[in-house]
Amino acid sequence: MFQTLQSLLKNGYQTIDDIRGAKLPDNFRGYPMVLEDNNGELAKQCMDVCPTDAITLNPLTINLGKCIFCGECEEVAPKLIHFTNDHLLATNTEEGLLVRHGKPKTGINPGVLRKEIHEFFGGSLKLRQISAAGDNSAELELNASGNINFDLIRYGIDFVASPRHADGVLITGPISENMSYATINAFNAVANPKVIILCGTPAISGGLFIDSPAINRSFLKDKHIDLYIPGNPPHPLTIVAGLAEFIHLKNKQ
Amino acid sequence: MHTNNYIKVKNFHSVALDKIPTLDYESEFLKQSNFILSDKSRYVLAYFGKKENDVLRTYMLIADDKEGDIFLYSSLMDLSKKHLSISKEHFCAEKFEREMYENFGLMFSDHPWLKSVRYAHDRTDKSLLQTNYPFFKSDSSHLHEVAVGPIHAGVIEPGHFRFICSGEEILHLEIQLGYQHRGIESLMLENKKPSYRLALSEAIAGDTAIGHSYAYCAIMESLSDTLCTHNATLTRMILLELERIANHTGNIGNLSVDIAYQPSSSIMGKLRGLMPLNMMMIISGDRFGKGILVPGGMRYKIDTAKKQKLSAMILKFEEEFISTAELLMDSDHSMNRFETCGVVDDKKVLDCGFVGISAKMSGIKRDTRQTHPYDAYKNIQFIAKTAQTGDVKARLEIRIAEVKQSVELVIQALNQLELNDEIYSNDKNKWCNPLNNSIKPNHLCVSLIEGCRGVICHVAITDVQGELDTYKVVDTSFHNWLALALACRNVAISDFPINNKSFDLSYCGHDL
Repeated sequence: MFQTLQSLLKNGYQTIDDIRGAKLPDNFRGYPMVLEDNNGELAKQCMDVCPTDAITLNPLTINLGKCIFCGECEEVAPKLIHFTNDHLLATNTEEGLLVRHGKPKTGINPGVLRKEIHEFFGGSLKLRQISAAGDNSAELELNASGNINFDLIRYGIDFVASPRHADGVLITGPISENMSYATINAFNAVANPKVIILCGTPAISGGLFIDSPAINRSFLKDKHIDLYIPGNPPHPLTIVAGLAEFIHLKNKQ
Repeated sequence: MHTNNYIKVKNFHSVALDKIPTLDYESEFLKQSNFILSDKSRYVLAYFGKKENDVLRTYMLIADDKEGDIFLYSSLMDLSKKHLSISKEHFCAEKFEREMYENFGLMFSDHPWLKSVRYAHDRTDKSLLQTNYPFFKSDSSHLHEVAVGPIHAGVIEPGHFRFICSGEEILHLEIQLGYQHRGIESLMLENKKPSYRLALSEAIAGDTAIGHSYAYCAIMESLSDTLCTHNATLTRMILLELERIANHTGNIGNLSVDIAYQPSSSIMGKLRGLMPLNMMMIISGDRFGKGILVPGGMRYKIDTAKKQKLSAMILKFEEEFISTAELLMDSDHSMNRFETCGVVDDKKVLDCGFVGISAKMSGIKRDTRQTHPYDAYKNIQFIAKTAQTGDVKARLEIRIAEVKQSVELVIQALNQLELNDEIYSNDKNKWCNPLNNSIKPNHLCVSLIEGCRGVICHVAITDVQGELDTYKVVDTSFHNWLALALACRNVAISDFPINNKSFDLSYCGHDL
């Protein structure tokens, strides 16, 4: 008993207070910057080396929904593309996923948020996480988001066991054919109003699996996506900051 | 009577296809397999097929742990006929035969049960559906069934568990997987972009991104006769051991959560991130080590400043890990939950061909760092840690022992890095040799890497142009899911979570 208390006292307060301001190491591959709108040979090499066709030209654009943050493009052309250690990646529009030279980071646009999100979930958001053929890295980071360092629950955000207890679903993975039935079932079991959050590159775009015949993303076809959390996997700081901002912002329109 | 019609290859080696003997199935292949496997220390690493016109070319790779090499031989099988199975005599081949039945329609007349493996998108019989899995049933009114999944209470990968229970006691557990199937093996062949294939290897199982990408890189290097630099092989060892430390630490924390032992649950959870994951980030820019391994070496180097930081972090981790692990092991109420719970004895391990921790827990030293060492592991006399009791406690003990062992390996490897050496590459950032352009045509290459759970096996076959023709991935979990099912027999259903966590198997690694 004494050793237990000693250990707990020694650990003390472990929570990272400033989730948005926390600094990750310089080599962490967070928000990329397109350093110039170059569409020549070098840009074409970046486009060609990208494993997921996340880079397009005219203008030179990186789609964070497809980007797997592997760094291959920066290696080819460090003067064109540089991954900063900015971990604030969450956005709620498809336009917000696109990175271009001179385009400021959009982040979460409150004008596009459905009013119910802050009204109903501003103080408490309970999510049913659906693991739909991801590689388990996003799941591990979601679990880490609840640990004593990142402490997601201090914002009133948590994961629940049943979709009946949930305010929405958070999907990881590209959605395999074999998980499509369960995904639809779980989503339908959530009462309205409900949110859909896509967490990680495979969930947002299919990622490496976009062309796989084993994937079935038809569930997402007619759905409004409330939040995208880019990353492969997203860092716990990205997840916590993104979810916290999502429920705190008010749509004043 | 037996034949000696096989070749033996070492880990990381490539061999020309025409050197691999082709045996007639009924008269030679079957007999030879049964004979080789009658030495129970051997187990099937990979047994798979590829279509050659109307027949199935099969390749058998069996681990010979005593000699440190791999039996390799082949057969051609008529897909329109029924064949006798190896599994009738040696159960460790059963799932591989079942996988070939699913993928190619290869029929066996005496296989114990040809049920689906993962409902692969390219399975032969598309009328077989996830929703129609033929669970073993009992009509007894004294028994009831409990169904869990695919979606589980926590944030965890999907799988379905079907229990047949008598009151609180599990009599039978059947595990249905396949929900995570993404088509890895066919994607690896279809998309020929090197950056895609590398990224795909990291995505087979994200928590063993290093294990799988190491196996992939080793194959590409072997097929092109590219040597890795000294620093690169050391860094790969550092990353592989950090991955092991991270997974084991998280797992010990999760086990603690399941028995509501708060001190180790919160501290292990924090430690996992603070040290091994952040150390992987310092080296690679990513907490899982994605984006650093590349065929030929490493994308980023470790400089003196990083090395000092890493050395300090690992020592701090070691101190806190050891004291927290002691807290858990000294806790009587925790040990009371773990002892004698979920036992799989050594006989079952050998019969079923379990590997890694699922074998070491019952005293069987299956660890490729010891039996089939590669790269930096060749220079150390690695001895695998084992336990004897085969229960949850044993699996926990091994993890604690392996973390301590891995910490020592990381410290040693950091000290062996040649930080002032400039001879390897013109590019200041890379510790990488450029890949020789020509990939050997008509070759087979096998790589075994000891991931945190056990052996990861990749087998690649090239065609006449040196293009990848077949890519087989056998994750540790392909061997080991049955171990969990067996462990849960006669266990109270409330102890299922700690058993599941104590095996800590990969769903996506199995499903591919």
